[in-house]
Amino acid sequence: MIKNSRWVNLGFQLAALILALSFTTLILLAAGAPPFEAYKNIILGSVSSFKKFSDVLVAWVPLLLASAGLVITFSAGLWNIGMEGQITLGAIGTTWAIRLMLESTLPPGLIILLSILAGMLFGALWAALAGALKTFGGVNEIFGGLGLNFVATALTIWLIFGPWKRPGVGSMSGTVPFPDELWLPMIPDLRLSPWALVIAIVAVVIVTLMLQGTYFGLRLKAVGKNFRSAYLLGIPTWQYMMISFLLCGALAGAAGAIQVTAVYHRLIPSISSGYGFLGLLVAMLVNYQAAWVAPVALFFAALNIGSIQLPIVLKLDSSLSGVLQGMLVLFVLRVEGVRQRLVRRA
Amino acid sequence: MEGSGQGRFLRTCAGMIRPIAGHILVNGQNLTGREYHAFKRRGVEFLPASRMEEGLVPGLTLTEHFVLAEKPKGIFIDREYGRNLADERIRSFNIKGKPASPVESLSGGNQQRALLSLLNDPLSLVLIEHPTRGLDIESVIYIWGKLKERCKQGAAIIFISSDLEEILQYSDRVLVFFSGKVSQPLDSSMTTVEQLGQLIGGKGWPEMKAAEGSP
Repeated sequence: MIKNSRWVNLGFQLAALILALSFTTLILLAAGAPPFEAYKNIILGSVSSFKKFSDVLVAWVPLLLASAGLVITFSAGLWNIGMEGQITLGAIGTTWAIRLMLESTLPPGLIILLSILAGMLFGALWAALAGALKTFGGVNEIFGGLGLNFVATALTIWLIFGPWKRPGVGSMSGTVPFPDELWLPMIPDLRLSPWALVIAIVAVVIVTLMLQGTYFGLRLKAVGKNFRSAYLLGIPTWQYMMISFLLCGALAGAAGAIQVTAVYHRLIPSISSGYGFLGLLVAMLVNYQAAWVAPVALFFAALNIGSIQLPIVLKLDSSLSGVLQGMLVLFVLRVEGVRQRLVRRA
Repeated sequence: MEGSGQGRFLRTCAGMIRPIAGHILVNGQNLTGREYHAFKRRGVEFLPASRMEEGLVPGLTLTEHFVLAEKPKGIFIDREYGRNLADERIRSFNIKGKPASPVESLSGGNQQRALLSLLNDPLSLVLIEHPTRGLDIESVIYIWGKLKERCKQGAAIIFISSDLEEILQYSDRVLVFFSGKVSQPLDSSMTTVEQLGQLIGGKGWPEMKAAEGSP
């Protein structure tokens, strides 16, 4: 038996990191690639210039929103696999609202704000659908969410090639880009919008405070850990599950809205860019602790951006970042299991 | 005997199972078909036998349980309030644990004490499944002491148990469930363990009926 302490826990987490790196290294060696070159390129590709780091932040924003939302549903004991679809619906809602107000005389700032809110609403409603299937239909949220993901993707494709197609012929490059004044304002010469950054950071701070400092957060945790006991303790369990779906969906919708207004300025087929699934990895890795979402999401975003240049420099596929992220989650969870077996509870 | 319907009876009385027929009145109010929370608001509490599966939330601390049960006003958690509440409850229910102890780290007896300490005030009815099953003798005595206190304060207690001596020692009236039938309330001071045992096994029911019938 080992004594429980902060240092021991840190040691275990470090071990998980080393294991994940070693296994990724083995895969690289097996593929005949130079591991250290690859890691060096990932690091250089993410932080070697201010422009590159700003790209990391561009990826950080939707990942941060998605992960923060997922920490809420995780706390309620729910696996919101439908995150991708909720991000997509957020993007659709935002595009819909902007198209609706294209001809209007409203100030652009207000149009952007209303569109983002519309995206959040669409995301929340899409999540509520998965939630309602779970609460009233007995459909596990994993299956409901996965099914709704496919529907969301199909809906995007249909909109791009159907009602919202470019004049003439629809194209995989998406709908017609919005006029410049309807873009979320950006830092000159960069793809980064400070507004997007502010929205994401505010969202994470609110979620952290909510889960760690409020009675609502405590009740949500009780529902997640044991909903039968929570019910007997007087907590309205299914209502809490629905609320967590709505909140998570709203944050997913915000991520989709930002992808539309701040990054692509139109609706594209793969607008969610996998941030929903990557957010699941982040949420699993931080293990309900919302305060860790920001640094872990930043690390994951850096891996994603850093690996973009791998195909050019080393002829390696950029999915290497995904391998490393997956390994990391796998080993952190595995090592946590080992730790619980070895370390005596305080 | 377990599985004869007493568990379902208890859960029906708590609004956790919808009755097929009949009405449930709480303090004169018809709550038939309402859910448990409506009962709870009117002073009815259900304590399940499976403490860690239905009663307590593993992973949460004692303090967090007290706070959850107490439903304090406001949005943000008042740590000071939680600490004081936990100290007070742990002392008055003699729980061997710290405010920050996760409930799953407590012994069975202490888990049951914790569960009892979560009961609301004021109480009109407590429904308990196996109040002392699997507990050490000290905890058994302690828990019945606390329950009797609640009785003195005006709460009625309905409990089911497979310990016949416990039934006769702590109850005023006994209902026997057997093969789809429920007995008349028996006066526990007039009933012996042997009689109870026979009724549970299905013996002596006709005689009981006859005795009820005669003046």
